[in-house]
Amino acid sequence: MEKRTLVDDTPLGGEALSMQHITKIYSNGFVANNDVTFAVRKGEIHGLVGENGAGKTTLMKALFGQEQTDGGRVLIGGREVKIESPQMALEYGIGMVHQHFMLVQSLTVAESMTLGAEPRRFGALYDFKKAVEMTRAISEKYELPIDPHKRIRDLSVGYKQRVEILKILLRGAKVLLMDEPTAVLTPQETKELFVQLKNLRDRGYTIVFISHKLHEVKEICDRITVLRRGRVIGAAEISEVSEGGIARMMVGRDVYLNIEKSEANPGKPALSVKGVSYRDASGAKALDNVSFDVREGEILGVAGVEGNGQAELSELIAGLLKLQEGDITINGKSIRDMSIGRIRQSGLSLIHEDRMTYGTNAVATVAENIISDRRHKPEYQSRGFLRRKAITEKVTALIDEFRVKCDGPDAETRTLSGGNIQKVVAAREFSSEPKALLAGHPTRGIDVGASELVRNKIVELRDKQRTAVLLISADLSEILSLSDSIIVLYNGRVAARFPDVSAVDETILGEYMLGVKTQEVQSSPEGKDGDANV
Amino acid sequence: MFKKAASPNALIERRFNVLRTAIAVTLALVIAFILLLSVSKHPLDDMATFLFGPFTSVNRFALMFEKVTPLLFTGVAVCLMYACGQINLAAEGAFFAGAFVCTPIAMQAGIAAGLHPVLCVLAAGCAGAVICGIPAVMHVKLNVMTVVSSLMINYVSLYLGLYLVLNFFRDPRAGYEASYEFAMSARLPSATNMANIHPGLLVGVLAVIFGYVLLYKTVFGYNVRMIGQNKRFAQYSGINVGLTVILVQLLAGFLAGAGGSMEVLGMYNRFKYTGLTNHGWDGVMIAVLARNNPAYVPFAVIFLAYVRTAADVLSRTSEVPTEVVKVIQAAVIIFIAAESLLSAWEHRAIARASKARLREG
Repeated sequence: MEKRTLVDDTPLGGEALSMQHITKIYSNGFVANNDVTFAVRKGEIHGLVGENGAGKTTLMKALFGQEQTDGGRVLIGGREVKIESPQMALEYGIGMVHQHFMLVQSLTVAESMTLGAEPRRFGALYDFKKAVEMTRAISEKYELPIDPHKRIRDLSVGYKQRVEILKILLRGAKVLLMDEPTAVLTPQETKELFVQLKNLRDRGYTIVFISHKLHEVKEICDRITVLRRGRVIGAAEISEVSEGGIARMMVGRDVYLNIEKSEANPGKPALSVKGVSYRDASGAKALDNVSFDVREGEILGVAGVEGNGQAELSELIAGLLKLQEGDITINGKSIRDMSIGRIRQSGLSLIHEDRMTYGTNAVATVAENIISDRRHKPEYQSRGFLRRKAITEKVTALIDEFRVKCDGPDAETRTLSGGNIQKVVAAREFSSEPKALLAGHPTRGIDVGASELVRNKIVELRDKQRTAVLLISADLSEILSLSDSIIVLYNGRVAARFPDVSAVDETILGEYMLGVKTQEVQSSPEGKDGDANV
Repeated sequence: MFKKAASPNALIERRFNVLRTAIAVTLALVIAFILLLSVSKHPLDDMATFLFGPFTSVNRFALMFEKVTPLLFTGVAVCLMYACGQINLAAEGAFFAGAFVCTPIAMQAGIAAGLHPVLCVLAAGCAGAVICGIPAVMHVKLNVMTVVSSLMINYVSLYLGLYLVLNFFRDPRAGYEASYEFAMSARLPSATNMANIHPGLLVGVLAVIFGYVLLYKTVFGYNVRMIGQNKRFAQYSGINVGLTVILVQLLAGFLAGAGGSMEVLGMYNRFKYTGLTNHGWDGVMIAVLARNNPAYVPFAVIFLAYVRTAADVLSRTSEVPTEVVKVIQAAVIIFIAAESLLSAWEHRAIARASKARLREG
């Protein structure tokens, strides 16, 4: 069963594997990893930390042979290797547990464990008995009990993950790449997982732990490497850095925010969230009784470490998820029974955090992307026919106004840089005279110039159109410099409300974001101004 | 006002598209020639026949256009469904449904000559819409996989049609399995006696124009394309995805069904199909070649009709076995349809350009 790999030749604490000068460019020209150098010592839990889109998963997929790199080399136990497929990676002793499990729901645990390396009888027949034995043996060896006869679909998420871990251990993995393993787990399951991972480390296994949850990284990792925008920002022993220090490395403080902004003059509530709770498909509570108002001419910032309910909140407001408990109103009208089209017509604009999937259609032209929310308006069509000339004129004007660098209205959107694609989204969402704007991570992953333009335009919307802006961002300096008031989301709850942004700073916000402190908040929608105690 | 050379990646891609087609054609011809070398005593002559066969007589040229008409309809129909991202394979069944549903109407005597074919075509179109629409509704309402349900519905259409025609409209005096004769008022007259070039060809051209205008000039077509290219973007933009997906497949089914009726009314004097006709499958191939754009459908159809006619001429005038002719025909089409040819090379070129720009800052 046990086979020796290059990793085994490395002494404990020595460099088990290293990736040097890795560059990965996708076929659309997007640079996911830019000259990344990353090394892991044998027998450590190494945190690979960074925001969504920083290039963590791409880097690990390259190591696991799922993505081919465009430069750089990989060394295992000091020897250069070329990993072209997951099969090869496993032969070198590298296994990966993906964020979304790669399991067949209808198979039993034993069948899943041996998938791809099935034990056989007479060279051809599947030996189920042997598979059960192998499963039992490995689960006893690593003290990770599991029933080999159970079907995958009957397992809880935590056990499915256990199957994935055991599966790569069975295949002889000595280095485990865990891609955001806690994203899908309940707090109890997370605790259990951490015990298991530490157990594996003590047996001499090496673990790469991908995460953006700082307290988890702090709790379990021995060393970390921080990625930002495809580059390595730094590596450190975990004892040498504080959570705040890691956060600074992740989001960066080097961006000088040049925003001219006058005092807000808020009017009546335009976007109200009232007692909203939401359970995701796995039954975990993503949002718990969240209430707040965004008033006309006001920017309300939602601070929080990612994964604390922000994504669900914005998809509920956008109508992409169905409301379960509570209500959301735009200008006093409930969106409960509205289609997404109706929600948009009632005055909501949305910047989706995932601009390549939701925000834009990459293979459509810039013009087609800009008219997507207004295609039915008489300026853009007559009797069902698109008014091409009018569209070209209006889009050209918007390209100018938002300084989108492209070949013109008919340029294919995917040929633009990330910053310019976001400008296309902004050009659409900001020009529809919105009553309310939901801006989800509006400047993530884009260059300084584009970020500045988007931020200034948000302020302009607030002042000129009196738009109510809900700003969701993981970038604290952005939240602090743009918002008029702030709420903090932690674990799906509103952990703090700050009606006056001048009374807070990064340290105070950080404590609430990380769950160190909580305001005792009465979650009545009217209670917003009264209960903030800064 | 715009910087013309702002996207070097687009330039690289354009260059590779031209190169791709050129290489595909060359490779296809080389393979055809190698195959001919191995089976023919006069490979050069036979290659010439294959290349220029349809041009060697007016008759052959006219026969090529006989093949064009039905494929225009099914080609556009599949383009519409694929442009919406719906892998619906029921154009085959819709075409067949159009053919058998128009049969009893075409058999009726005493309908005015101008009106009779119109009635047939409309009824056939509706039948086709039902055939393509059922998998569409099942997908939207019940989340049934369109590929499977549309494949199966083709057989429903085939056997329902055969059952109806053979049990209710069969002419016992025909001497073979066929319906009663169509009334003269229903039939589409041919413009020439060399081949059946009937008004259906003209309507087919109109269908191409209709498909193109619908897809690229209307709001509905815009919705269809956005759904096909990125469904989640379409949803997020507020497009009614379910309704659009159903409507476009009803429309495509109508076109395929109408095509089916015009084919039987133009080519035959009775309904005499005994199995599926392959026009729907050809439609899938045409849509792939035309990259789902109806404007390119005529080119894809003529290409296909040309290769088929050339193959016919070759197998009739040479000793090359029919099977080899079919293989040559398939090889040529495969190469033209190959999309990822050179993709690794293309990726390297893009990566190199991106890296160069990274260095420049």
